[in-house]
Amino acid sequence: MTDAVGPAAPEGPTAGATGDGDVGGPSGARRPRPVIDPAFLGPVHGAGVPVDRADDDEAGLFDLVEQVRRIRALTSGGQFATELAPLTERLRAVADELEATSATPQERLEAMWSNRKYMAHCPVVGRSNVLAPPMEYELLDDGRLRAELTLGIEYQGPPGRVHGGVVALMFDAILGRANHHAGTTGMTLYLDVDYHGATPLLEPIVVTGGPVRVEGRKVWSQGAIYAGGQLCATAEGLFVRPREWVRDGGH
Amino acid sequence: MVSTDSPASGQPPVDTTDPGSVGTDGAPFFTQPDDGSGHLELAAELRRLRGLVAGSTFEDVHDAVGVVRELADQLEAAGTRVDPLSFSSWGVPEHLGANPAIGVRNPVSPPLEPVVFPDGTVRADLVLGIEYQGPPGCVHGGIVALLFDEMLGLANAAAGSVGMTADLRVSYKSPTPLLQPLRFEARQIRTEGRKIWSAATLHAGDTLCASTEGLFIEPRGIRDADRDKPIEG
Repeated sequence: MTDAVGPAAPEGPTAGATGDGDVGGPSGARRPRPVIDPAFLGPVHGAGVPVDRADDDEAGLFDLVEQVRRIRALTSGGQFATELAPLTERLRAVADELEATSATPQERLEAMWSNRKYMAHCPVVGRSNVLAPPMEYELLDDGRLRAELTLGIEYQGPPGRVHGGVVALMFDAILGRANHHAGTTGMTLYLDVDYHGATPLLEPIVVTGGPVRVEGRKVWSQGAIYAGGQLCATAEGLFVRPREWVRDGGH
Repeated sequence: MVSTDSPASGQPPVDTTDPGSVGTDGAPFFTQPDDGSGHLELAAELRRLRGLVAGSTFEDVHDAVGVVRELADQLEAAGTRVDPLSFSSWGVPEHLGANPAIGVRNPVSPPLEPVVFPDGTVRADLVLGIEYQGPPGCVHGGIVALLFDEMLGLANAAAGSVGMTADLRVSYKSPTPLLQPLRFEARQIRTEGRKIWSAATLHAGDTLCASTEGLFIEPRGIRDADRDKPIEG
């Protein structure tokens, strides 16, 4: 599982080369392993421009989520030298109070998409989303996004390792957003992830990815995750822009 | 290099046309025990807060920030520490409880609540809230992949095997709706030495939203010595 990177493919991704974006599936042929060019996807340091950073926090929502994340980190896989019940009671009171004045999910969805502030709510980078690590993007000169982060126990799959599904989640997010910055926002048609080695918990990792080929409304994108210079995982995604989406109208 | 050969069978591993095809005789796959520490209740409140702040339109939550900060400080001062079990062992309840997809003690997890059927199919029904959103009104494609990876792992567990993901192939057929009942179904297809192939589907009602196939590799030393042979490409 250490040397699973295919040969360089300067002409573009494997799936793109076959033409029509066959998305396979359990009843169809299994897609071949994507051909990834590690030279394109190296874990560069520096020279990136911070993007998608939400800073407007008048309501204190980012602060609130940050504090919830602290509790999340302190309690995931934790053992306690303190009584949790009184603490939980106070959290319940906070939640009760918020709930009393909360908009319905449907109203919140409408508000989110009318003011186009999706990124603050994204499950991977959103500062107001408890699920998010959060990841922070830099945009590189070549159109790739890059993020450096350290994941805690709440993202664990195998012992001491990042959950394989969390790896896939980060890839889908960074590829989709890199497409957006390239002006080719779309929805995922397929995502193929290859795991070359462990993605470690509690150590800095670099996630990077961006579009490698565009054809009409289709865009193929590739990404990689590194830990200390070691390749952990690679991914290729095919994204398609729905006809009804105008540029910048999507996520 | 790990071979990524397709399983020999060309048949759909999971019936993609009839999400109810496995019958009604499923049973909860496992129970995550409550150790009585209050951790489950705490995680439940964190999950509730997670849902309330997602896409929220609150104008001022500074009072709440004050309380939650105080509680975090209190926990930090009390010296919670990492449970070594969460690092050292597979499949034990403590490890499952911390899992980001099924762990009841992890506020990041929905959590999935798997049911296992006599034929080895593992099913999980759930509704995902705004915090799992990608495109407008839809579940994030990466969240679908995250839950698929876990479902495949559960299907492997139901078949008595344990593996680490070597590859994951996810195909998205139709947008996965937020705030509506979803059904995941997964099944192991085949094993060969330490290699394991599994597949899963995701439906919203009768609509197939996504499907996946994954190749998993059993870690060395976790099973009988006769399985402990090299993986060759």
